[in-house]
Amino acid sequence: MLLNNHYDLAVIGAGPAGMAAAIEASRNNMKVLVLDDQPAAGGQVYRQIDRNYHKNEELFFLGEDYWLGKKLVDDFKHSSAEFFPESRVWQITLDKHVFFSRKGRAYQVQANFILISTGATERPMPIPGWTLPGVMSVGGAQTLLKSNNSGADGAVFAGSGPLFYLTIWQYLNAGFKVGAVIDTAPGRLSWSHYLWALPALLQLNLLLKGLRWKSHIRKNTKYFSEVRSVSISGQSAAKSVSFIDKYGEKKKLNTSHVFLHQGVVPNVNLTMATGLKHYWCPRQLCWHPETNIYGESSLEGIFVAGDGSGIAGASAAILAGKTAAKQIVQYSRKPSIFITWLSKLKRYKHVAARPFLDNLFRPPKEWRVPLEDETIVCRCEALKKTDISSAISLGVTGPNQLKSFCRAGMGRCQGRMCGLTIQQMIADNNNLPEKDIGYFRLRPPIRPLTLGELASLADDNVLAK
Amino acid sequence: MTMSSQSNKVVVIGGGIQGCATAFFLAKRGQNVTLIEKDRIGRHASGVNAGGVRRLGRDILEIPLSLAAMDIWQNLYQEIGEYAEDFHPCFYLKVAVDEAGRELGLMRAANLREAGFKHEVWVEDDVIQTRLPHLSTPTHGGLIVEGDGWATPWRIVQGFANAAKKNGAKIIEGCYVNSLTQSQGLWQIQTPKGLYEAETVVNCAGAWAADIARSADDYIFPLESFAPMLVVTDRRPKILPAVMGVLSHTLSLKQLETGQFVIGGGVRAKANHSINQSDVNLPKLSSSIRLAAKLFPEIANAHVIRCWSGIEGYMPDELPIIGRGRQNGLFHGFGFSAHGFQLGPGVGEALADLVMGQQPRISLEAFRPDRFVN
Amino acid sequence: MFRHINGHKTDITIFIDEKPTNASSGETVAAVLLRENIYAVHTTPNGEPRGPYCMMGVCFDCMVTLEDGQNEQACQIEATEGLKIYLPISDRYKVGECF
Repeated sequence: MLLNNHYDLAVIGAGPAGMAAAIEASRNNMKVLVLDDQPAAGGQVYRQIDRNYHKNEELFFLGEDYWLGKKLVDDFKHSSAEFFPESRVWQITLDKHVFFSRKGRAYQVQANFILISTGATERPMPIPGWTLPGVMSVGGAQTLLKSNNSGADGAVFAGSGPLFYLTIWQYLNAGFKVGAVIDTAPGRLSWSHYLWALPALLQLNLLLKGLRWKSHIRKNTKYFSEVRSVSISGQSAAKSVSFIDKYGEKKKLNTSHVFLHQGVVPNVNLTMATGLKHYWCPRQLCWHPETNIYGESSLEGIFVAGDGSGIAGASAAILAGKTAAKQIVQYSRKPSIFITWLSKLKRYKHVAARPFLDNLFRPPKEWRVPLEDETIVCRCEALKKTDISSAISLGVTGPNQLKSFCRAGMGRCQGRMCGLTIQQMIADNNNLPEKDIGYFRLRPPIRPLTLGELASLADDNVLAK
Repeated sequence: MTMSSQSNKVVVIGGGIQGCATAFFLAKRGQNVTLIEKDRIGRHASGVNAGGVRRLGRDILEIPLSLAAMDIWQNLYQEIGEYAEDFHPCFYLKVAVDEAGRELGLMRAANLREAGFKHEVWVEDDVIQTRLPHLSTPTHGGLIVEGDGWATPWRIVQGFANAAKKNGAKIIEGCYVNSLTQSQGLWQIQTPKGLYEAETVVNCAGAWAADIARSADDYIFPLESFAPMLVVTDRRPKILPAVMGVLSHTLSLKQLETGQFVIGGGVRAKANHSINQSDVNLPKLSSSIRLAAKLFPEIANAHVIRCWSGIEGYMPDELPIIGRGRQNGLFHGFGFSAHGFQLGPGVGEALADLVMGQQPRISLEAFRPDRFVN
Repeated sequence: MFRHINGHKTDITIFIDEKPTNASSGETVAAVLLRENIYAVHTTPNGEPRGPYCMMGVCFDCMVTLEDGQNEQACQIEATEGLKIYLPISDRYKVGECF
């Protein structure tokens, strides 16, 4: 299949939102291009579902929610949308040109509409020793399970959140020995938790599922709740995890594998670098692109759908992708107030439990900014908390100014592993709310591309599938 | 109005290298100087450029200024102390990759020789191949300068700013100049932080300098702002001991101590200086990068990890404006068209001379502020 | 130690620092490295060992070197028959400064 130069709709990210949008738009005779950096569609939640389906008995432990994605992927494959996997989008311009790299070459396409559905990424959990080999994110452990059907015995899981419990549950079902589970969620439920629990009942099945996972985990692992002060030790690799349990006792567990998690946040590097407006969401403690009810951003014709616009899960993402595509298909017609409210209602039952979950798993400051000075904050440049604090104390108003004093945020990950931490540190130092501090000014390329790829841009835009 | 060598009140507008160097030289000579910067010292072009400290490739009219500036660079420690450590001397090479480039280079070499300048030397390919052992293609010769170098730009600007402060200058950041008017021989500079009065104003406001000049009812300058772009790569094995350019082509290539390549050369993206906005447009760099990869194929494997640009002011003839304004007590030093960093110390010295009624050691005729009038 | 789930088989060979290693087609090089007990693949400029962390291409700590000299994230490379990768951390490649 050759790459066309022009499309009606370009979708970035073939996860649930992207696939749903592509299906809807192509069903309405739009010429759709879908780009994803992975070898197959599915995003994070339905990773490699196509390939895994042949072994779905073997992989039963991934859970029924995972397998629900198979129909979506099938519909996507059978749609007329053009899908280019292994494509890394590194720039989107205001006039809706999309630049991406694939197997050593760079390409350029233009579209009338763009949907950015690049999903979420894990919130960094900077604790002592988190950079040691053998330490990974829980999302990473789950990816290994889904894409590579691998796992480690004797791992210690530290953190909390829906994905945390799901992954441990999957691990147990897959037959791996879990070393221990260290739950960092604070114990006390406040009145706001009970308040939000009411609307959450609209997603009762989701909550019950979570309770089932948690109870299974408590029964089948060494489970420690309400822990404080987690740190990982080791010389050149992880050797042990230490923490303080809920009774105030110091504990130490020997392990070479530690999996960390403090929730997921929208992956904003592409949306920010493209110039979309963002706002700080205090409840989810992260940045969201500004969008209207249909997902259209502050830039005309550029839409955002899925976890990339705010964490809401797979079913909400599918609906968001469909909604955005519907709006794109009939773009010139203004939707009636009735349709608008109907969309809001439809969406609500997919997100009713969100405030409850967000509050329940809202990571306390201890897991967002390290307590110890020696803990690495900027992984790429190997900068510790103390390096960054001293730079901040020279009088810095935001993360961009910090770059004049130290290299924090100037490494390859472009702030993905340190941006939220640094923003919080500056907010604390200056005694200001996080939203006033801002975030790193992100610019293309949002994924590293080689100079060879950039040089090839002038060649013919020919891409054979 | 004659300037005595007493402490006149001078306000310098703009905290880039031109402004900070000017403030430093004035303060060093006992003048009462205040520098007003609308954002932060070195925030714009002076802080984000490639840091090239070169005499190579200068317009022949700029060479005397560049040579004078180089004297200061070579004794930088005396002026700004430890910040001078950020200057790394190395040779510069501008190679010809085709006949057109060779002809241009030979002609240039002849012109410079005739004008008595000895710093740029024409060399043939065999010399170039020995100096750059990793070069993968034969060249058609090139121009070489020994003793040029590069520096971390924002550190050098900080260095001049700190040295100015040490000599008694006041530096005020985050202070936008709202208006500039003359009243009874004194300049009234209105800012959100209050009114400043000065006998002399030096306009080193970079891409914003024409706005300042207009506000002062001085000449109308055809200054345009653009955003020259740079990219930096991940760390690679070290193969480039010099800073390289290519005759007749847009490319500037160097490799930092860390092994990262910095590629620029002046490819421009759009800028809107009134809202501090500068774009990047990576694809525009593709032909420069292709050229770099032709010279050093290993470069093709390096990853671009960051692309940025700064807001720079360009004059139609790409020569700066340095000299007296139309108004009494107003001087200008701007419009450096993406090659002002190395000149900065020389410009600062020359502007300090002008302000104090002394003769600068080089002629500034080519940079006359009135050269665009009608 | 990382291992495949019970019953899973490897079917291709890749080369890590010239050493033939079993892998399953379609899995990522990062997964192969972890199963081979290789948790550190490169070092930071100040000598800290680093290895795969996020498995989704955002942390850049799983950098390995391809046969053509390019550095690439191991979690983004699909294992294919005969693929050769080199670890920056190995002395023999001497690419401590190559990231």
